[in-house]
Amino acid sequence: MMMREPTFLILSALAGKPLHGYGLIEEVHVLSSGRLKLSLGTLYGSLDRLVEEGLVRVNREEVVSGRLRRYYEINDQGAAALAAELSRMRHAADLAESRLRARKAGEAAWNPA
Amino acid sequence: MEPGMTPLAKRFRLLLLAFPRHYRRSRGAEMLTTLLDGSLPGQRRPTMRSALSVVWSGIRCRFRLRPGKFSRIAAAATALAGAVFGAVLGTWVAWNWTAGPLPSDAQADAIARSMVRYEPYSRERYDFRFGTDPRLGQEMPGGVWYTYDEDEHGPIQTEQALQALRANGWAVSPANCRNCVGGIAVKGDVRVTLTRWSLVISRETPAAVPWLMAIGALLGTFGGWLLIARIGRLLARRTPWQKTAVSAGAAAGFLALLPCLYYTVGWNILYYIAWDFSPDGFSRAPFWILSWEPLRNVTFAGLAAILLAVAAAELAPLDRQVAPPVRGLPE
Repeated sequence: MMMREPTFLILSALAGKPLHGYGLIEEVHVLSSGRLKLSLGTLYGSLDRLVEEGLVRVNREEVVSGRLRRYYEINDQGAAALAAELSRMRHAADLAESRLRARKAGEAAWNPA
Repeated sequence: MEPGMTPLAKRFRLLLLAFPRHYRRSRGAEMLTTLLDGSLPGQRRPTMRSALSVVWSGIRCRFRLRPGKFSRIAAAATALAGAVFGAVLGTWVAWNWTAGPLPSDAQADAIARSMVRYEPYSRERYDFRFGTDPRLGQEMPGGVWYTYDEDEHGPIQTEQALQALRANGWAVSPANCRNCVGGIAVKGDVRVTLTRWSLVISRETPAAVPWLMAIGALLGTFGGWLLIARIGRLLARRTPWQKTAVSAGAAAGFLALLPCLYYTVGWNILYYIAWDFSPDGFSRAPFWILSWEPLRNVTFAGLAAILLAVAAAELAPLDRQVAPPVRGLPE
């Protein structure tokens, strides 16, 4: 099944290193070239689902200045799911690219000048 | 409230109340940290945007279902049942709290005499709002029923009778139900239904009925959905056999509600809203379904099964293999 964009970006962000909630929001913001800023509900809704599906797990908890930070990390199953999604996206991109090339070739054949 | 909390943290904690308690327990402290990490130095109150976002996220979280098709189907079915029963409950409340009294005997006689010049064959008074017709055993609205002897006087001259009411300021419309010939007239809280051989003076539908029916349907829809969301959350931490037993009990209960739902939608809501489609005037009794004993017993058995399933989901011991919540906001 196709992965939703926030899920894909969260997994991609966690592929680099374990991150806590706000770290994830920032990293997803960067990965989406500033396009996506996760809301609290989307972030924790996605994390709940990913933890439940066994793709992500809690790495550690830290209490700094009285604030609880929970770090998440991707596990092997999560990495495999991310790789499968990347492969699907790459395949779709290759197909789209070949169609575009064929279109350009067709246009050139019809307009030799 | 914990001592030493900044005003911003206090305000965010207040906003986090939008999330259900179980969620605040497991994620509250972490979410608070995330919100504080995203705030600017020296900021004292959340921005409008972040406040709305937190509250909206909390509401969405309350309505979130467990993953899976079964959960979605159960939520949709329960929301539908909630809408139907909510609409009926809203109608019942509107009738019982806002309907006016029936006209006195003298007032009713005066209305009847202004329409029909000769004496009725019989006059019966039923003060209940809705009840059982002792002759036919059917549900009907309360009212004063005048029956005229068609053999002795011929049929009531309905046009003439309605004309008399119109002249006295009544709003008159032809009776459109399939088996009715005559008309309906309304003035204030009183409704008169006229046929060729009878005249019924009853209460007019209170103005609050459609509103409370709609509000009841809306609350019932949300309630049904939230119930399934809650059961789903509770079952997530239960053993597989507990899940199966609770789901089977709830499904059996829901099946027992189906006949009641079917008749309620048709007779209590559809015919009540669109009276033109109803086979007779008795469809003005909007909650008669629960007074028919066999159907009532099956319905109550279904409701009892669902309540038992919910209680079992609440009280069943936790599955020790499922990790308990780690750390959250103190209550």
